[in-house]
Amino acid sequence: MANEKQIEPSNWKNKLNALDSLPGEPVANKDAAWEKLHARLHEKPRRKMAAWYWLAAACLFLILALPWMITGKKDDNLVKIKLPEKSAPRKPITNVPAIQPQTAVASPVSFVEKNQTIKNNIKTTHHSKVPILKKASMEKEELLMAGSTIPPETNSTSADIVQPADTAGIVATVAVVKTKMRVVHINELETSAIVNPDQVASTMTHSPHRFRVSFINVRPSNNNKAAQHAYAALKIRFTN
Amino acid sequence: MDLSQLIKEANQGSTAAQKCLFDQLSDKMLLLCRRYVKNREDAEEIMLDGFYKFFKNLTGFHYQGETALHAWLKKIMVNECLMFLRKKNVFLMVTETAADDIGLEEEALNNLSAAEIFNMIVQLPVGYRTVFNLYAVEGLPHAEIATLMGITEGTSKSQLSKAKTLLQKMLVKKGTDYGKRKTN
Repeated sequence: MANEKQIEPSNWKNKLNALDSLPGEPVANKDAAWEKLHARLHEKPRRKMAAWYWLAAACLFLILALPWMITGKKDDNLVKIKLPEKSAPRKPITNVPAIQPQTAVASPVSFVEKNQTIKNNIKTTHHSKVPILKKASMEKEELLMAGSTIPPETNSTSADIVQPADTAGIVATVAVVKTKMRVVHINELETSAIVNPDQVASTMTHSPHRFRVSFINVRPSNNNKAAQHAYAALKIRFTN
Repeated sequence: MDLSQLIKEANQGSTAAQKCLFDQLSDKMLLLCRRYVKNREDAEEIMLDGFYKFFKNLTGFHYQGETALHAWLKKIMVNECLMFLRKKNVFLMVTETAADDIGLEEEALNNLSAAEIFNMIVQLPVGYRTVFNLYAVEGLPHAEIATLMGITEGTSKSQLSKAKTLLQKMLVKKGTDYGKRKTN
């Protein structure tokens, strides 16, 4: 450009380069600036990790995490809880009476006894491995139905029922019987009383669980004569 | 102690020699940075960055006189200033437009003091100021200025002419004010 003249290295440039400070301005704090610079000059250099280092670490992590991620997906089924196997086999349960069909109104006592027998039947009939949740639901249903229906009869009336050796099939029951009480059917009481009245009397006096039996005859309706003759509603009170 | 001795000892790791060099050269370098970067705090940071690189690369410097040392240090400081301005994306605003046809009376600048010239340059916009400093003060060609700033050669020239126009206007105003003061 014609207007542009080369500026000669004249006095003003030399003056500008020689300028150390501006008049009227405060003097810069050199010591503070030097402290900053000195700290930077003598600080330890940071170790920069190479990119390949991070890549190798990421690959290693994936290799280690992949099997765990794969095995985690397989466990979709319900968890089956297995009880530990007991070394000593259980004693065989003998003299389990057959449950006779009863269509009368269930009394509280018979209801409890039925539940116990139902549970025993469930234990004896189950040999295969069944998920605990299904069994729990089955047991619940059966308990609910026990008041109205009667479980099917067992084939043997007094057969020796042995606990299955396959303890793997044993499943923990939902309801736990806290107090071990001898399950006795009402018919058994009658028969024992008839056969051995003395024995019954002694057990009644010495047994820790004394009970008073009172028979209350509830007359059935007039319509059902068969019921009137065949069945008598018993009301037994147990008093400890 | 002269500069050559100081540089020798600084190369050997002497902190005292380094501090001596810093005390001798820091004032001029700070004003140089302030010509490019108006803000005082920014200029101090840039100066420290420049001295950091100076001391780190001092072992590879072959001392050939005080002028050569000053020129090398000035180059480091100017590069630091340009890096700072590039980070702020200041040069994006620099465009090529037609300049007013007003020339600069260089002789008028000779009549001014160093502080007045400094204050006039600092008042220029950043684009004009940078090109003027690089061309008029440092003596770089337009091609190199264009490469350093990331602009075209034509933009560099237009920026320079605009800077001169503004400086001339400032000189005229100063002269008028000087004339008024003289008459009063």
